[in-house]
Order: sequence, then C-alpha cells, then structure tokens
Amino acid sequence: MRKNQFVGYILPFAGLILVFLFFLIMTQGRMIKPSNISNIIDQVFTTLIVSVGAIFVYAHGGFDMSVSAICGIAQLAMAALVTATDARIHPLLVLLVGVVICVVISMLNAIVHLELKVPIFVVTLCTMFACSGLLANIAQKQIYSVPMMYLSTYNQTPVRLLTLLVIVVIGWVLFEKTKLGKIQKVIGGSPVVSLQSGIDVKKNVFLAFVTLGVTVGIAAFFTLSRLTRVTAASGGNLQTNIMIAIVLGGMPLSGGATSRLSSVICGAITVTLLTNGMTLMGMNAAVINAVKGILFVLIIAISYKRSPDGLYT
Amino acid sequence: MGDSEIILDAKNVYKSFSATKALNDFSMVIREGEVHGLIGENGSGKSTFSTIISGAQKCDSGSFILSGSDYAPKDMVLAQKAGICMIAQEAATFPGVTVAYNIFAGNLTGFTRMGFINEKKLNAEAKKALQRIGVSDIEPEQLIDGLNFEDRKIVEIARAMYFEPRILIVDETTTALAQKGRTILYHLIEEQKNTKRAVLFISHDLDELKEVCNIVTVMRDGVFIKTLQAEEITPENMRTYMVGRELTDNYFRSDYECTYEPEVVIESRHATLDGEIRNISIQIHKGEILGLGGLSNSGMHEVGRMFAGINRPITGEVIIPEKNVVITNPIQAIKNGVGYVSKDRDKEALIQNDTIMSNIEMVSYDRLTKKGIIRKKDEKALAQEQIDSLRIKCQSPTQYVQELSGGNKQKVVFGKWIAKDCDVLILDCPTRGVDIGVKVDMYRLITELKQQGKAILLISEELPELLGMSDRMLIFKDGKISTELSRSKEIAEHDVIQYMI
Repeated sequence: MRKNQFVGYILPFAGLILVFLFFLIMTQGRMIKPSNISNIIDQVFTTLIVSVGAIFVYAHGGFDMSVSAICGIAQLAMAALVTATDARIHPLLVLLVGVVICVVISMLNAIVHLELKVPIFVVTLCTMFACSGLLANIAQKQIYSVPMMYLSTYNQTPVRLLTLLVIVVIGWVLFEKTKLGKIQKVIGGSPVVSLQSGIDVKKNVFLAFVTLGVTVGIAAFFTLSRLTRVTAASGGNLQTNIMIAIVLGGMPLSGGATSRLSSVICGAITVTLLTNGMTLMGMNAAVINAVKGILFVLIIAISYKRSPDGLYT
Repeated sequence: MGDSEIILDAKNVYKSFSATKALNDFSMVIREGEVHGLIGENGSGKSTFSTIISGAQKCDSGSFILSGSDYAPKDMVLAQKAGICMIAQEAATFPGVTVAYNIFAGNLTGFTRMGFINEKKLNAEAKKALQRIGVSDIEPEQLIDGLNFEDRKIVEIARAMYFEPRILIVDETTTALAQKGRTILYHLIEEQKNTKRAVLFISHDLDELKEVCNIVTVMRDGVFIKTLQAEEITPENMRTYMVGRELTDNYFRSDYECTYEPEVVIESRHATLDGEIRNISIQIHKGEILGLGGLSNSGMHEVGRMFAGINRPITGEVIIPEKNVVITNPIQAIKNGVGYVSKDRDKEALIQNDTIMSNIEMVSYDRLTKKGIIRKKDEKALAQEQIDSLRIKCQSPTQYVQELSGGNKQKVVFGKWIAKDCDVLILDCPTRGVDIGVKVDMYRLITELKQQGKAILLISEELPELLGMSDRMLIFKDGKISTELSRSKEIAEHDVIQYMI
C-alpha cells in the first residue's frame, strides 16, 4: 500500500478520535454518561443509515440536496396513513410505504437528471424546495402524529442497533464487494472511460439513487417512531450531516476510487459527536449549524485534491 | 565545441513522484551554439527535466547556474524572463481569447494602464512577435479557437520567441507540426545556434535528432547515461544507449504473408457517419490484422469509433455476422467481444486517478462476480496476470495509473481488453507516445493476438507500423477508401503516400 493511500485510510479514524477526546475533555466527561451514550446512538442512527445509501450517489460524483425534505415528506405520509387507519395497520407496512415514497421521489430526481440532462445539484435543490414547501404547508394546517405506543418497539436501542448492523453490513457488501458499488467509483473516476468500457452509466446512476431512497425511507420510519410527531422541521439536519460525514470520510465531492464506506461511517460518527458535544457545551442549534457550515468549507478546502499539473513525463 | 561558454549548468538534480524517481542525480550542461538533443524512453525523465528548468515545476534538490548566476525559477514567467522558454508537447494555448492575449499571457503588465489593457498596443506587439518568427497569415485579433492545431502551436512558438530566450526548449513539438510549422521551427533552431544561444531538443524521432542536433544527451530511468557528439549521433547509437541493449531494426512481424481465416468476425455495411465517412464497407476476418492508414482527418479514426459502437452510423450498419447482431452502442459492442483502445489514452481509455487493478477489471466485472460477490483475491489475480504477462512496470496492482509512464499506461489498457478475452480489438494509434522498448512489446503482442485468432483493426498514422504489421491495408482519404493493399515485401512508404494525399 502506498503511503498516501495509507494516510487516507487513517485520517478519518484519527479525526474521530480527536473529536471524541476534545469533547470528552471540554464536557468534563459528561459525553460518556450512559444517558448521553443512548442519546448519541439515537442521533448517529439516522445519519449513519442514510450515509450508507448516500455513498453510492457521492461515489459516482453525484449529489443530493433533497435528503432532509424527502425524509420529512415520508414521515408526513406515514403519520397520515397511521391516522387514517386508526393505527390498525401493521407498522412494517407503514415502513414499506415510507420506503416506496422515498424511492419514488429519489427516482424522479435521477430521471430528471439523466433524461432531461439537468445538473443533479439543480434537480435536487428543486426537489428540496418542493418537498419542504409541501411539508410546511400541510404541517401548518394539521398536526399529524402517531400514538406513543404504536411504534415504540422500533424505538428500543437493541432493535435500532440490530437494524443499523444489518444495513451497514448489506451496504458494505454492496458497495465494496459487488459490481454495483465498484461501478459507482469507476463512474466517479471518469464517465467517459466508463462509457467506452461498456458500463451502463445511466442505469447505475439510477440504481444509486434508488439505494439512497431506500435508506432515507428507513431513516424516516425510525425518526417517526422516536419523535411521533411531524412538523415543518421534520427531516432536520440530515442533509448537512450527510454531506459533512461524506467529506470527513475523506471522499472528494467528485467521487471516485478513494470512496470507502468504512471512512464514511467514521465521518458519520464524527459529525454526530460534534453536534452532541457542542450541544452539551450549551451552544444553541443555530450556532451549531454555523459551525458545521464553516467546518464543511474548511474540510473541502484542506482535502480538495488539486489536479496534478500533467507535466510528469 | 567544448570551448564555448556555458549557458546552463545543472548539477545533481533529484525529483521524485511518490515512489518513482523521475530524476536521480541528473547533471547536464548546455553551451552556446548547441542544439542539444535530450533523449530517452518514456518515463526516463526528460520532460521532467525540461519542465523544471522552464519553471513549470520544482526539483527536490539540485543546483542550476544560468549565465553565471544561481537560477531557481518560481514559475514559467520568471523562467521566460531569465531566458528559458519552452514549447510544450501538448497544446498550451488558452481557449476563448485572441491570439494576442495568448502570446502575452502572464505578461500583460506592459500593456496595462490603470487596470485597462491597451488592446491596440497589445495587437501591434503581437503582430511584431509573429513577424519575428516569419509568420504573416495569423492575425493577433483572431480568436485562438478559430486556428487549427498547427497554427496554435505556431502561436506558442511566437510566445516563446518573444522573450528572445537564451535556451529554447522544444519538447516533442515537431511531431505535431506539418511542413509550414517545421520550416519555421527549424529556421529558429538554426538562428539560435548561430547567435550563440541554444536549443534543448526533445524528440523520439531518431532520424530527426540526427538531422537537427550537434550534441545529444541520453537518459534512462532518470539517470544520465551518455553524451554523444557529432559523428557519434547515429540512430543505432542512440537506440542502444536509450534501451541499454542492442536492438535489431526488425521489430515488426517477421513474415510477409497475408494470412487470415475466411470467417468474417465483424463488418460494416455501407456505413456513413455524418460528415466524416461515406458508404464504408469493411470486413475484418478471424486472425487478421487489418490496417487503416491515412491523414488524421481522413475518417479512419471515426471508423474505429464506429466499430466500437461509440459513433453510430446515420445510414448503414456495423454487424457481427455470426451472431447477427447490429452494433449500436459500446455496452453492446463489448458484450459481443469488441474491445476499443482509444487514441486519447489518458482521457478515454484509462481512469488516471484509480488503480491498475480497477482499470483492468472494469470490463470484466461479470466474470469476476461469483455468487453475487467480487472477491479481492480474484481481482488481484486478474490484474497480476496481466502485469506479469505484459511486463507492466509497477509496484503493485493497487498502484495508481497516473504514476506510470506512457508505455506502461498503454500496457494497462491492453491488459484490460486481453483479460476480457475480446474477439475483436480496435487499436487506434496503439503506439502513440510510446517508447521503442514498449513498442517492440506491443508489436509482439499484436502478432500473438493474431495467431490466437483475434480480429484486429489497427489504425495508425505511422506508415512503417502499418506496413510492418497489417495483412491488408485500407488507405483512407476524405472519408472514403482510396485503395486496398495486401501484405507484401515490395510495398514501400512512398507507394502508399500517394493514396493519402
């Protein structure tokens, strides 16, 4: 293994440990109190699950601004469904509906991008506006919620940890050990070479968005089970957290060969610890968001790989 | 000549790119009146050295004395002002602006007043710069994008000469130039020689080197090998020192038989590509090397892209008769055993920022997948097999492709298609920018593939290569086949050229 490849492996882990130690000291150990640990598990859960889906999109050089908004809309739909059926519908059916909604919207993103040739940034930005607008509008008129006990099974830590484990393992195998994942990295490396090497770029980009949709749907279901209520802010900071997890995981925004699921998982945990640590230190949500925004730019500025000058013989 | 004054004295220069030593304790001296050839195989470090002295990149250690004082240019503009200018191998003009801006790029201060550029003065000065090198048919006000490749190269020459450099570096420029550009350049080289200045001349063309240079330095693997003077400068000598072993002239196929099996593996029927080729019917047989020759805009490269499914004919079709499949896109072409080696290796055939392994396996995922999973062991074995059989110089299968030399990169591209076990290989200028040593390997390999019964379409701008390798040759002119020639000892280059122009 080359030296800088090795450094690329180590950095995300080093960052995680550094952030952990920093907040451990700054919060005088409050970070590892049992009550806070379970908080952290709650918070890391959604970020991690969606990161596993998002890596497929970011690895081929894609991008998605609409993750939070889609997650919010799915929660709204699921809550409405539960209300309409008087909570007599099986929760797993609710999960299925949530996943289908997220997958369909994600597919729409991909189709508009691929068939109408609209840059993915623009497409997902528009989806974000549309979905969050719809969510705010409906949530203002009527509060949808699910009964406390209805989804409580899915709110237990063991269930969540098991779910997380299953998703991470499936995601890891798909991304690192199958054609689907390998092709995403290759497309990120060079779309032209991929096309000339007989790779169906459109199909694989589409599949990446489907994968992302599935994970967003699952995250939406578990978020609803914990908060039970849908508001205009449902979906929350998911989008920002995913982006930071991706770059903290050492992935360039152009995707490509250096994309690694293990690093992105590391990034997802790091960004959760950051949020949690700052909250424990008494910072309010607005300040935390500002810090994250600055952090995002800084990481990109530092890690952005300047293209070699091409003058090497 | 040993008595003339030293212009540049480079001592103990080192430069590494990660683990690759591009320059290893390299020293050379350039004197007044020299046309100094710098030669070596690809990856030997000659371009690295020239880019360092022209300020495009820095060395790791080493000392330079230019005209008696220390020299360590921070960028290319400072190097130009100090008296070293380079005409680069690849296109180095800025698109979207005029010829005049291109000539004075990075050097506009003289034309600027209170933040505004005096275009009149700029254009007048550009006109002078062009006249200086004897060019009158390029206007400074013209947009650079409107010029053809050769004229853009001429603009680069004007830019370099405007500084009246003490050392003019010509890096593989002549291969890109036709008669007009060559005349200008040779004239300037002569002028440099006669005015106590110098030229550093980098080329692969040994005959040209013999013609132009009065001294030649040979390097290999970043190390100084030998300096040849006057009569010592012969193609045989240069070749021997470059490769480090004796090479016979005979690196093509040794037989002169036109042989192939009767079975047609792939063919085009009355295919027309909009504005590029018209009504082309070509049959490629099993075990045949079919050569396509012509000028670069003759349509022959487009024929290759058409066979690979990249460009789709507007009328007519490309067909695989055995399976009765019409090729319409690359995905389907590859599925049916057609492999394509693009002329633009760095942009179209290889992912630079990825490993040798990823590049080789990217057309073979289906074969690697067992029970839905691709195992690391199998991936590595696939890459290692090609690395061994093609003798790709690298540290490991997981080394990044961008760190390899041109010849080794091309071997990776070949490895990718050989691992896929294609029936048809379309090779568009497969030995372009590849040094002699690797060329020999390539020719041997192409012959082996023929013997294995592959159908090979060899598109080349180099006539000796076509004559030396093809069973049949189709010469293209203006998008049509102007003649067909069968393999024979008797055909000479000038017999073919008449059909090209």
